[in-house]
Amino acid sequence: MSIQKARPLASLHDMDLVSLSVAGGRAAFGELVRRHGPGVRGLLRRIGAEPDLADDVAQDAFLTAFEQIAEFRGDGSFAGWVKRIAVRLHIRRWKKDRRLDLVAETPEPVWDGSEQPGDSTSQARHMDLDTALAALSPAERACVSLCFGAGMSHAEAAEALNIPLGTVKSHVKRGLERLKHQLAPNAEARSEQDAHG
Amino acid sequence: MADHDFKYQLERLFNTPPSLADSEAFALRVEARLAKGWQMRNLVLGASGLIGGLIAVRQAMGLNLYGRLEAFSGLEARQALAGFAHWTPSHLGLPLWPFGGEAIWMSGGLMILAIGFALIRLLEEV
Repeated sequence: MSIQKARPLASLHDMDLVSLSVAGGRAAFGELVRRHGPGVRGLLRRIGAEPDLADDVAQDAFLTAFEQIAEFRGDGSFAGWVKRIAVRLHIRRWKKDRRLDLVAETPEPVWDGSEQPGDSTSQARHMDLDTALAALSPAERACVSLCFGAGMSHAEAAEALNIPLGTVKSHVKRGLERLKHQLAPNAEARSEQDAHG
Repeated sequence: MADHDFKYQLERLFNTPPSLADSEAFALRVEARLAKGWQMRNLVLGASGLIGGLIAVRQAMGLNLYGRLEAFSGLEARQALAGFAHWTPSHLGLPLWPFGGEAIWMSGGLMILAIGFALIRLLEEV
């Protein structure tokens, strides 16, 4: 009887599944895909990829991860490792499609920063990140997602995007300011007020 | 909200995967592509082995290696059979079996192949 049949894969820790995958266990790797597929696909969409493109890149990222699984040492989480692979693949496509210039320079945000967000952290769980990210410029969205979604440092993001470190920092700073505004607990109410004049 | 708290909340939000209805279908697509890649890999390895084997046979024939090997293997096989005879029951009469050195070498080759297949199967199971 194989190990997989003796122990249900769903109950295994990521590192156990990685060990099985290193030995060629496709079923074990499939379980990792089930666990972390939504996270990887979600991150790519949050960076700004269309859903179909995000899924294609996520698939490629998991296939690459399977090929390179022996190189995963477990220093960080498996999800984080695959996310970084996915982000790099996505950026490579971005460069290929010559859309990286979207990230290089962007106009100043429309929001004037006059309103301050609330202080209640308890309501943070109600934040709608995807809606808030949609309000950011492509550059801000990419930089914030790389740093907070893929766990990259500013320097790593700058290297991945092939843009100056200072540009990444300013995109992240502006993006955070806008997100803070968008994700404020009373943002929804404020938006409605704005809509009504 | 303080900057530190906000960044922490943002990281938490990013780490919360969205609920996607087709998660299972996505996983199945990845598994299908993995299986396809695996089959392709086996096919390429098999084809490479076959081509390599054919080239080796052609080269061996060109060098009359077969004749030399036959002469060599006849002697080696007789020695091997004599060695086996010490470890097998005498009523089997191994040294008297009507096969030559080629059969011994072929059996050895087939045994190595079988072990190779068994190892591959074992790795796939694990």
